[in-house]
Amino acid sequence: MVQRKKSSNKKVYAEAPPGTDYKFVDEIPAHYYPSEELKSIMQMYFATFRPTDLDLTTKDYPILGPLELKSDGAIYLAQFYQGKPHGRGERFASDSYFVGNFNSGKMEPKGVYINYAEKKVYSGQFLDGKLFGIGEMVSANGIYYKGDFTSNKRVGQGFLKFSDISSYNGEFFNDKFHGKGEIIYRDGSSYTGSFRVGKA
Amino acid sequence: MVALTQGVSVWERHDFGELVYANGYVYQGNWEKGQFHGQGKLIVGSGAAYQGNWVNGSKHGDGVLTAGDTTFRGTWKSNVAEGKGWLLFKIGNFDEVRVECTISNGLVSGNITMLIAGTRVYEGKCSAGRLEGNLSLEKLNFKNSELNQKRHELREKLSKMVYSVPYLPNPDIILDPEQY
Repeated sequence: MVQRKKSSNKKVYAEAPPGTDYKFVDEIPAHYYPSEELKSIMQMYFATFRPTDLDLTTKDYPILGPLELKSDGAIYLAQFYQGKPHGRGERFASDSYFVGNFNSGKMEPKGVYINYAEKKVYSGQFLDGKLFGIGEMVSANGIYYKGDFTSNKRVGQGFLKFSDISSYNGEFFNDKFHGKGEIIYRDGSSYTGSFRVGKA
Repeated sequence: MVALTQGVSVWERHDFGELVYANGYVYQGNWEKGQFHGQGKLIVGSGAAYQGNWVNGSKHGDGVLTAGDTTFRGTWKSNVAEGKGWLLFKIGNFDEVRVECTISNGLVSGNITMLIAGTRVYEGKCSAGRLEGNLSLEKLNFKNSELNQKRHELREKLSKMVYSVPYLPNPDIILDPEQY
């Protein structure tokens, strides 16, 4: 097993795994890293998160990188297997950061994901590179969500807590309250029943 | 209600649900576009309630208002009782005083019929809660000394009827879609 020096981004292999879509890069651009604000949210809410081994066989796969996927420009520091990130690792991109597990090149099944544009930090389950399953999401403006995700969206049962006392516990569809649920409003009143998506 | 601006998303109460206000008022029933709409019951404080039809947040159509021992069954228009209805209340030992009446601007008006325990005690006009004729309570088993007092009580009861409930705020979470 080849160890990557933690103090620098120096590559550990002289060339990319043969026959793959990845190429080595000298360093990860600064804007590929999460901002201090988002990093502190990650540390505040998900400090205990550590990527675990995918299974017993992935334990000894080498950590390679920084390797750039030619098709989308994302840079990986990850365990590689058969020319793809597989096991534990990190993914840096201009719009997001991910630390967690990879399965045949895709983010799966667990990890922490930071979306730079939406200023959101997610920790939970992934499927085929998407937020999928059960997870927690914290926004920079103090909104907290815990519940079901389907293809990056809040769908199913979930709990949403706003930065004031208001909160919602119930069904979600397309990121919005939809179906049955319970809401507590900021004035202290509460509602239990059905919701649907509306537009003012 | 908070003024809504365009392009802002609203989490709408819809179909069936129960809203418990911060002051203890409760609404149980149907909703549309975040407002009372369809059949529903609003409980205002202890003992006062309206159960009936709502349209866009207002009492409209058939409904029953209960306040203390008094019940009014009738029709409503834009939150105010309007048209034919029945008033039911108690007086003395008599559990059932029944007044068939017309309500206009929230007050008993026009021709009314008052029955106490099935006995007709008044049939005639009433304008804005004031009876124009005399109540014939002689057939009932009131003591002679009580008669004037009971007449007074009945007149008071009719004049003091209020067929509305207080204005309620409409709580909503209003958020820019970019914000959550």
